[in-house]
Amino acid sequence: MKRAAVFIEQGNNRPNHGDFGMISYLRQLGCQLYAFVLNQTSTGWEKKLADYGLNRVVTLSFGGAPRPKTPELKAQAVARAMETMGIPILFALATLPGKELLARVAAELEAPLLMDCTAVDLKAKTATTSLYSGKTQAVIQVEGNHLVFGIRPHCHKPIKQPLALETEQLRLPPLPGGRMELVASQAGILPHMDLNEAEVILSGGRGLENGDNFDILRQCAKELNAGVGASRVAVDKGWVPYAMQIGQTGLKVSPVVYIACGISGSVQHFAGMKTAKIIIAVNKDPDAAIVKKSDYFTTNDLFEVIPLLTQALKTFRKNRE
Amino acid sequence: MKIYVCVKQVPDSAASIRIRGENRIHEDLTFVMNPCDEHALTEAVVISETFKGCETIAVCLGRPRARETLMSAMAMGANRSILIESETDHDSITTARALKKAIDLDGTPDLIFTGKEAMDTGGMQTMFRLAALYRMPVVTNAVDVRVDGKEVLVTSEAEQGVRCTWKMKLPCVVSAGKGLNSPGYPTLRQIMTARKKKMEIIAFGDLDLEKPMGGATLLKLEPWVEKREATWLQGASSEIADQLVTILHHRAKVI
Repeated sequence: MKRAAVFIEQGNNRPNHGDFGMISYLRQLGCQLYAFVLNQTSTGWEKKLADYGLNRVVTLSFGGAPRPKTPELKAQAVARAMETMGIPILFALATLPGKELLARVAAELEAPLLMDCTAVDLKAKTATTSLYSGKTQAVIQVEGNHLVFGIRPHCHKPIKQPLALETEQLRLPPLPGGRMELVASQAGILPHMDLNEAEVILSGGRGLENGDNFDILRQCAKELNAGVGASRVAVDKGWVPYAMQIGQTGLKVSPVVYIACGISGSVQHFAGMKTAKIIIAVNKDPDAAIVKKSDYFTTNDLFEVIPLLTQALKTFRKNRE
Repeated sequence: MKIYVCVKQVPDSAASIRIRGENRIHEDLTFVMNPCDEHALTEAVVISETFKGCETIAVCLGRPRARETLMSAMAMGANRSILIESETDHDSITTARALKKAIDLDGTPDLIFTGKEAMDTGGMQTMFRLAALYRMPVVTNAVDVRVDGKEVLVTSEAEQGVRCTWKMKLPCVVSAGKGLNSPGYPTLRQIMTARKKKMEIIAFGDLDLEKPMGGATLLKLEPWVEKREATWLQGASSEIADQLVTILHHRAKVI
């Protein structure tokens, strides 16, 4: 059976929600899945992933040298591990850090990389992804000694298929010194969930009228464990930071549910969220583009609907407890 | 000091893409400079103005029509430009190799700028491949760049707006994000001046690139089909809130 490496990014010392679906999908492709671990302390997530089809966890060590922390050194470590073990394929979830790691590994190995894939065929060496900012779907064929694929989050359902997890230590020679040094870091300006990871996203546009009104979305997001995004208008007006922008020139997200509040739904905005499973539009204008391209819409006032939804979610939760 | 800025010509974001044959698009569209590349170019010009004798050179791999994009680059402040002319599209491996070869034929880069991603392919790869070929460090999605003698401080924005400031030695590669600056429209005078600036044209075939270790080929292109049928939720807002809870619970299964 073909072996493939899978990189699990652990932003908060745990895998991404999307990793479970990705592992389930990759298992179906008929390859043995090896996860590379760069951090020393395990939090038990490996076992959870094994329930969805992960075969083996390979802990990398570097001859007593400290573990790689920068994206540059992490990528070098993954590339060296693939070469040493003779593993020709690498997968990771196409989140922001995932994309960067994959691109750095692919550059290191001069391997082709297909980003944001919804399907992969390892026999034909093809993958399906989107081109021209989501306006077209493309089938691309790759060739090379190493192949790298970024998998779009949330496009595959997690399916339990427990395996006995194997573990292995891989000793690599110390990595050369890094050429990028971290001198300062600043915590996120967004106290919400990573938009790539969120199953539900509430997003606001011109209809929100100002930055303070985004609190209405934030309160509802708390009840839904959702992320909060914004349209280009909202970031250009300075209501919310650029990191929240969803669209052609912002983030591209694929949540299970996307709730667009006061967003007209330009082609450019759609490019960033059209792969959402369910789109719900809250927009007073029944002729807005988003309405026609949604699954459900309401033309009632968002300033009424969203706070009432927050209340209804609280009631729903209380009734279940 | 030489700053090279890699720019790409892409279809305008509002353009509707029509597919031709198996894997090509009709090119009777409006093409523009890739939006992130405008940020890269703007930053390079600002930096070059603070260093005596610093030169900003825009480099592009594209069709003959990409002359327009390089003309805009020069109107925005690039001192001169280089077009690698090709009638076909190339994957990011070949693109990086072509850009490097063209830059090498021209001079020694102290700093290379790119945009953080191309709007059409969205690959986010060329900057990393260029850096690997040059064995230079690279930071992506820059929102602040400070060049200080032989060092550069680059602040990049990651997920959830987390910001990290990285120190790198020159030469290095920086890819520009949206928050880096606000590109302005060139004035008529700048547009006129651009016409007098030098644009070098190199045929892609003349670069005589070595065969890379891997590659990607576009086999099939299909229009994205929207399969949604919109259901109008009606009633008082409290009823709509209840309907939404039902949808989130039963259909989406997220609560």
